[in-house]
Amino acid sequence: MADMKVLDVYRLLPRTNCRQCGMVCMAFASALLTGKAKPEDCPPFAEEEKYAEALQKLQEAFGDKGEREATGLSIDRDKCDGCGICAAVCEISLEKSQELANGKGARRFESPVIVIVDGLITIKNPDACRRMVPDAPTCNACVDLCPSKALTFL
Amino acid sequence: MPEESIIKEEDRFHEAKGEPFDSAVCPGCGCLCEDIDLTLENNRVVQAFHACSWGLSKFHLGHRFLREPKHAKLVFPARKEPTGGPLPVSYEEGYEQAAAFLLQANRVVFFGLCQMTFDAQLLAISLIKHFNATVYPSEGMLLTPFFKALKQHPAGIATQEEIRQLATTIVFWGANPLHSCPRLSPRYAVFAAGINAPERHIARKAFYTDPYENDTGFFALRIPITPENEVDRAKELTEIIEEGSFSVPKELDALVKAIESSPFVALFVGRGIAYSATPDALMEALFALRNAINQKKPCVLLPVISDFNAMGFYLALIQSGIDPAESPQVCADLLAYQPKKGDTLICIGSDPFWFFSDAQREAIQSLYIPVVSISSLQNQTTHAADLVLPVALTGVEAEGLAYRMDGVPIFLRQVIPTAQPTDFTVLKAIQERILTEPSHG
Repeated sequence: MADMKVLDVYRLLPRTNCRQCGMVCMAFASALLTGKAKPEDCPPFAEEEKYAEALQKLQEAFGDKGEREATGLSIDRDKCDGCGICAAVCEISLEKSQELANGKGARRFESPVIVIVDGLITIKNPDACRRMVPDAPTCNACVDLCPSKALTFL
Repeated sequence: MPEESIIKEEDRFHEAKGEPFDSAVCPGCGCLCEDIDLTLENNRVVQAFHACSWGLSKFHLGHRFLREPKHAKLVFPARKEPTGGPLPVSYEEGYEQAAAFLLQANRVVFFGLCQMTFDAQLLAISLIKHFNATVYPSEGMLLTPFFKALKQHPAGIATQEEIRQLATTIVFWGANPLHSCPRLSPRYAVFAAGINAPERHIARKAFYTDPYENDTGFFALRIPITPENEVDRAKELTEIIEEGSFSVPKELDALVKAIESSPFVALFVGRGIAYSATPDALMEALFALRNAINQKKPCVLLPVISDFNAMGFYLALIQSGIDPAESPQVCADLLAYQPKKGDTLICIGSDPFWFFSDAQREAIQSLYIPVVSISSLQNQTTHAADLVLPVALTGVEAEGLAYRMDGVPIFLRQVIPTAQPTDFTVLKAIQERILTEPSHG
């Protein structure tokens, strides 16, 4: 999913530009990538059997199937090296952990947004993430500075 | 909860049940991170906080360069059968055999020695002196030129904590911190807050030298170099800093401005200098650059070390009266080793066979050169060795002193028990057999 480009998504759509979702297919592809739409928001997908396979692929990539529920941060565990730069640049994590602000890992009792567990980025306190606050400013610090390109915001 | 907000369940934090073991020291690299919190169950690490993938591998008794930790612990001492397979022996038999191999040698050659405790290093050096042996430290490509240049340009070095507090210009010369010491930049060099850099990476300027763009480019600006012009580039920079210049080359402009405006400069030098046409001259030029900056503001030069106690080994050499800058016994380039009949190789905590050329491997085999490997983990050298003596993994199965890359001593604690002896115990047992050998003068 992290490697999907807008054209990859577009190719899986009906590409009829029917506008039943309120936009053309290319715009819908972009909306899927930015998390502003779900695959089920495309009526032809739900109505026509021939799109079942494409719908399934997109649901696997973007659908909310109960296994995901917070922040919009997508982690590619195969790429993460656990260097901890994401935690070190997360303003909220730094506020929540004095140890982290001093260049160390957060203590067990602290609740930063991000913590490195078993060599991988892990979300400990998703509700504190800036992106969870209503009308929050866009914050991409962890994604922008990840040298392994292991992080994406949907 | 905003609808667009999603996170996979597997990426959420789940605390493992077990016994906490907090503030362990990581033997993954020269950073010696002392903030690793572990959870243990049945004498096994079941969860590790803050360790990078390298450190995690060590706590799982595996090789650090594998993303998925894979158990690679050696189980029993063994000697090679005539058919090539391993034949289990007792430690006592192993010590006797190792002593015999060393006593029969015309020349003893040591490899590695950078991933063991300081006490064991001192003991190994006493054996090096006893046999007038040659040594190829696993970090020799970096640290032998470093100590040669340090002798010419003596100066104090700062600790990592001082660098975090004070440095606002960071230069990685021939070093990719993300691959040699993954937590160096978030903990000390770039991303942690300091007195002079309360806004962390925003207040710092970071640079790296490399012929090509690499992942350090996510937070540092590249200074393009080639193996041929690297020394000239360092000298050019030194001249500009010393004399000032109205015509600074475009590629150096940002670096020169950053150095001029920074209250404290940190230069990190890495194994990449080995790719230079003249590593010794390059190290000399980098020390001259440090001196030139030091005339105007504090500047330190530190090696970025992958093997956790490489600095300890060089300090142990100096403490034992062997000058790594002058002694012909201390070699830098492992590929320069020329096998001779009558050699005995003793490899401690390292895998030289991974680095040897095909010609070197063939010569070792055809000349029947005995190879003794003292190691915690399986590797190409233990596979090729005539005698393998497994030891406890320092920092996980055994305690001991090590020196961080900035020379700060840090004591590594034992995390889980083992029945295997430490590297110190094994070397001591071999030494005792050598010293009590009646035929040995």
